[in-house]
Amino acid sequence: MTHASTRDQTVTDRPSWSADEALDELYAAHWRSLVRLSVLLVRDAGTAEEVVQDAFVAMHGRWSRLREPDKALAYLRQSVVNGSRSVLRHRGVVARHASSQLQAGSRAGGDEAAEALARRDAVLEALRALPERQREVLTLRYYLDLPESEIAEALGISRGAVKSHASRGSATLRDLLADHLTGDL
Amino acid sequence: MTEPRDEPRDEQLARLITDAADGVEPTDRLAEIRTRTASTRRRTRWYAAGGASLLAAAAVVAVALLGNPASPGADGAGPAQDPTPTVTDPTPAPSGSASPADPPTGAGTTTSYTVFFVGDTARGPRLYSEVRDVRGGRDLFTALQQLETPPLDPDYRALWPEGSFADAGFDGVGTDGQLSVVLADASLRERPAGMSEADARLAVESVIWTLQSAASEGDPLQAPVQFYLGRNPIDQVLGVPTAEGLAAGLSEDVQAQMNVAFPTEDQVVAGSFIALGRNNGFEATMTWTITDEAGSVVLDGFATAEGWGEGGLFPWRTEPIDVSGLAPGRYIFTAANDDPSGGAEGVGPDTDTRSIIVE
Repeated sequence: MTHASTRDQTVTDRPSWSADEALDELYAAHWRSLVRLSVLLVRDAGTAEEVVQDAFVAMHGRWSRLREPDKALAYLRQSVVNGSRSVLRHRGVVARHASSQLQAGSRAGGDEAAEALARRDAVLEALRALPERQREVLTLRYYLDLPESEIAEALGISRGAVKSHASRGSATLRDLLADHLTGDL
Repeated sequence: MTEPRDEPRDEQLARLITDAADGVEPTDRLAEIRTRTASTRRRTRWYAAGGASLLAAAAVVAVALLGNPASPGADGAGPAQDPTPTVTDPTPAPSGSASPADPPTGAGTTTSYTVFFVGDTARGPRLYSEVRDVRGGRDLFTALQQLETPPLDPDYRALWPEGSFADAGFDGVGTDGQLSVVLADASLRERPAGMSEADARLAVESVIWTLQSAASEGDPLQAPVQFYLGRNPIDQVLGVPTAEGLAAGLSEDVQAQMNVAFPTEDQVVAGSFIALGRNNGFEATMTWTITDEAGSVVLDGFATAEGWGEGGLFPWRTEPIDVSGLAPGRYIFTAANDDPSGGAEGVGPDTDTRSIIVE
C-alpha cells in the first residue's frame, strides 16, 4: 500500500525516537562494543556490564536533552569511561579473570586457542598496568578508533595531552607485550 | 574519520587490543536496563482498554521480569534495582503521573503524544497510532491539535480538519473526573458527505483515545470524554451520539491489532535496526518482511510480543535486522499478525507498513 515514491515528503535522516526507542536502538548497536571498551578499562566483564548498564540508564533519563543518536553515543562513551574509572577507584575491583570473560577463546580448544587466551589475558593485564589516562586514551584510540579530538572531548583533556598519553602508553605497552608483538595475530 | 593531524596508530597494538576486547562476549542486559528505566517510561506504555487488560499487561511484565533475574554482579555491588510500580502494584490506577525522574515541564522540554489516526484493515477501518514529539509541557489541547495534522504514514488518514478543536481539559483530580473537548465549529455536529459512518465513529474514538492517552504520562486515563460546543454539551458529533461522556471502545473493535512504532515512515536505516511496535496476534507472533520496490521479499523474520489475547496491544521488538546486504534504495517494511486460524481466533491478520530508505 505504501508507495513513497509518489509522495512529496521530506526525507528525515534523523529518527525522532522516544527515550525507550533510543535505548533499544542504541543498545542494539553499541552494547557489545561499550562493554568491551569497559572490559579494557576495568578488566572484569561483570563489572564492565554494570558500568555500561548504568550508562544506558543515565542516557535514557537524559534523552530529552540529547535527542540525537550521535550525541547519545558520545554521552554513553563518556559515561562508560567515567564509570569505569570510578569503579576502579572506589570499588577496588578484584581481577577475577580469564574463566568468566574469555569464553570465546576457550570454545575453540587446542594450542592455538590456549595461545589466544593467554595473549588476550596478557593484553588486559598490560593495560591494567598503565596509568589511568594512558589506558583510557589507548582504548579509545585503538579499540574505538576515535580521532584525537573526540578522545580529548570524551576525557576532558587537551588534544596535546591525548597525544602525549598515547605515545607514552604505546611505548610502555610495546615493552609489556613484546612477546606478543613479534608474530602475526 | 581520523583527522589529518592525528598521530598514526600503532596498528600492531591496535590489533592486540581489539583482539583482547573481542574475546569478551557480553551477556544480554536489556531486560534489566528496561526495568530500571521503566518508571520514566511513557511512550511505550500505550494502550490497553479496560482495567482487566491492564492487569493482564502488568502480569505479563512481571513474568518477563521473573524470567530475567539480575545477573550476578560484582560482589553484589550492582546498582539497586527499582522496579516500576506498575509491575509490583497490580492496581490499574494511573499511578505513573508523578515520577521523580520526569523532566520538568516548561520551555525546552518536549512531550511525546500518542495520536490516533484511521487506517484500513481487512476488518474495516481501525485506529493506528503515531507518536508526535511537541515542544512544551504536557497539554491536552496540544495533543488534540495533532489530530488535525496529516499523519506521517500515507496509509493513515486524519479525519479532523484544521481548526476543529477550540479547547480541551480535565476537570477532576486523579482518576475521578471528566475529560472535555470543545469543538470550534458547529458544523461538526453533522457527518459530512463522503465520510462513512465507520469513519465518523472512529473519528470520535480517535479523540477519546488521544485525549485519554495524553492525560497521563503512564497508562491512559480512563475518564469519560464529553464533547462541548461552546459551554454546552453537544448531542452528536459527526452524527455520532455524544450526549453523555464517552468511554473508549474496546481495543479489538477500535484499534488495528498491528501497529509499527519504529521504523517511522521514510526512516533512513543503515547497517542494522530493530523494529518496534505493538500488536495482538495469535500466540503473540508477529512476522515481518522487507520488500523491494519490485515487490519481492528480500528479508523476513518474526518476533514474539509480550502477550496476546484479551484486550489491548502488547509490545514486540525484533532482533537486529541486518540490512547491510541490501542495495541502497527504498523498501517497504511490513509487520503482520500471524493468522493460522483464518481469523477464527478473533484476532485478524492486521498489518502495518513503513517505507524505509536503506543507505
